[in-house]
Amino acid sequence: MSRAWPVNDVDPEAPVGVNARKVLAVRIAELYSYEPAVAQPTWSHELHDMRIAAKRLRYTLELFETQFGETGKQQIDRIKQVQEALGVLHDRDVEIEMVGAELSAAMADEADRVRADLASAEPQEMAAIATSAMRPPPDDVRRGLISLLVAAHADRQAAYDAFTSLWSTLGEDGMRRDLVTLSMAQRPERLEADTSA
Amino acid sequence: MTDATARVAAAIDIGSNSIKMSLGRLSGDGRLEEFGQVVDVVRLGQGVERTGALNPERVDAAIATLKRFAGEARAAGATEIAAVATEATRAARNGAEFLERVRSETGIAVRVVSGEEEAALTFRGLETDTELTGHVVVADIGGGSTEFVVANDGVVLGSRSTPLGSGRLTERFVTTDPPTPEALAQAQAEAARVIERLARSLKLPRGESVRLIVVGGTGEYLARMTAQERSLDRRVVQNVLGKMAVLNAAELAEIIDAPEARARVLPAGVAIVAAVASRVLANRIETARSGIRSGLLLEMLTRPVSAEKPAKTRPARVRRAAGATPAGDAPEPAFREAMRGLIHERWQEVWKVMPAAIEGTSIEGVHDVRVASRRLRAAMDVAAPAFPRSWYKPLHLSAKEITSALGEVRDRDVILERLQEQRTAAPPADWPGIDRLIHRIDDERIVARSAMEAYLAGLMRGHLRDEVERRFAPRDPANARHPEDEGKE
Repeated sequence: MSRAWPVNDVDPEAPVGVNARKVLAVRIAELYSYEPAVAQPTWSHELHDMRIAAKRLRYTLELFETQFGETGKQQIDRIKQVQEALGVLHDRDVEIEMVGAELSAAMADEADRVRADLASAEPQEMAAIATSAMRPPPDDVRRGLISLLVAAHADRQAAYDAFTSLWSTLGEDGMRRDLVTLSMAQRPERLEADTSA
Repeated sequence: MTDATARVAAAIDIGSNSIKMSLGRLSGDGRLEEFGQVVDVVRLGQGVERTGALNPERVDAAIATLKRFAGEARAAGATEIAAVATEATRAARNGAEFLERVRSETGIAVRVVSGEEEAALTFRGLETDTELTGHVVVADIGGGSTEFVVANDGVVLGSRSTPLGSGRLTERFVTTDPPTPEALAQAQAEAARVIERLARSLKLPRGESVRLIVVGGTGEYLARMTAQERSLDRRVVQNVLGKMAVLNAAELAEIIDAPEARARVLPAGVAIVAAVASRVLANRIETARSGIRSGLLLEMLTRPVSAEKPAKTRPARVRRAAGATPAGDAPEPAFREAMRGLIHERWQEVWKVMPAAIEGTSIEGVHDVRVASRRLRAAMDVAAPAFPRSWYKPLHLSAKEITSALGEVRDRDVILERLQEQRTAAPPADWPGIDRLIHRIDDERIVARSAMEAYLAGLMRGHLRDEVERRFAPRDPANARHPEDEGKE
């Protein structure tokens, strides 16, 4: 997991809003630094780091909720969707790794068993051992594990598609623009315009 | 620039056994020159282990000493007096009351330092007269606590404070004068137990090439007893400990040329040295005068006179921008105070959900602690520049550790839940494979959960909660400055 990008120019004595915007700007940049990974379905580590960056951005928006108002809340909803979509993708990656490791172990167990059987077998028994090894019984543990692995890969593909589709939609809706606007200091003239509107 | 060499400062260390003061100034080449050291054995920490509070008589004695020291410092031309209080005041429930009396009766604002801050100051002070090359373990043995610093070629790799102190061990184990060999063995065993636990979180180097430097009165007196000055053979320490069982406090006081009250706690201090030495396996043990006052003097004397801030830099200021606050609203709070409150709230959320995670009736318990700790970390990540690193960093690391400690369990909770659902939907022929995986992950989860439960239960019982309260709980709304920040800026 990557470390949070540092926010170097925080001023402890400045008003909260000033620092909140600085932190937000860094967290936005941190999230979008992973954008190249969006088009790379096999970049599991980077996509996981992107999820963590999305969490950091969301928690920053929540932490300074009073500073960012309603617009901030809308951004929290959007980032939460990103984080959740990447979360499903990560869960499938973890699952593929765990199931894959167990399948490898089951395969190794079976190989050990065949080797041991052949080593101690009489010549006339060897053909039967070979046949049995090549045609495992219907309830062999590998069957269930292979089924799980197939399902996990299919689900991962679906999760990836759902994420890229969401990312594209949020991009078209101007999520990045809205976030960056939120991180910019509000100018007095804009405040006046807002008040008179 | 003001001539820093003309300035004289006084540093006072209010320990559990003694109150010590050093005067100091910077020489022309920027080195620290200390002079006018005075010590009073007040035993402020006497009884704290048993009663949890400072003894009123000891408090009166401490205040009398501090009044005298303050007068002597001013008479010697000191323009600044800094005082730190360590374990006895940290641990006592009436510590704040004592500090208020000191402030009102002597004019000295005492800063209560955390164990880690104490270790950092000690190390800084030690650097002024000791070459710190190679692997170094510094043990600053006080009356109520011992601070450990591990460094390599002058770079600090870590530090920890432990509840080991010569006064504290004396109160627990030494009931006779002279102490019995059994009592000293018990004190050494207790010290060894605490050090072993410490070695799990602070990587204590081990081996003949490691330099063990014992700081504080215990080391000084030990050197006097053996006439080996600043470097002792490891085996000699154990021999000295044996002799302690045949010397009463009055005899010992004469040998080490110290007050009897100080001599009374020395055997337990030597037991701590023996325990550290046998854990670290250093061939020789070096001794050094307490560094905390040197560290304090450097802190004061390297601070520019014109500014209130120390030379240790803080980020450049951004003044409150016009228009940053919507018209008509109250002024926004400053970041530091706002973050203190937010971090306190976030810790409360963590404590609130922790019992359910330990209980384990629902997998959501672990998830809730993970989420609460991540929210806490988000706040602590951004607030780090606003607080002194010495005490903030350990708390920040604790927040990170909470998230990590639960990760293994959470990953397995999630996948087990999904595997159960998949099993329900799968044909029976797939069940043996799914069951095999479920069993393996469940076994791993049991191991991970047991480690997690022990860790969380330790957190609930330990000092972390008190430390969080001390550092972040809102106090004294009339005063914008938090007591814990006194002297830090």
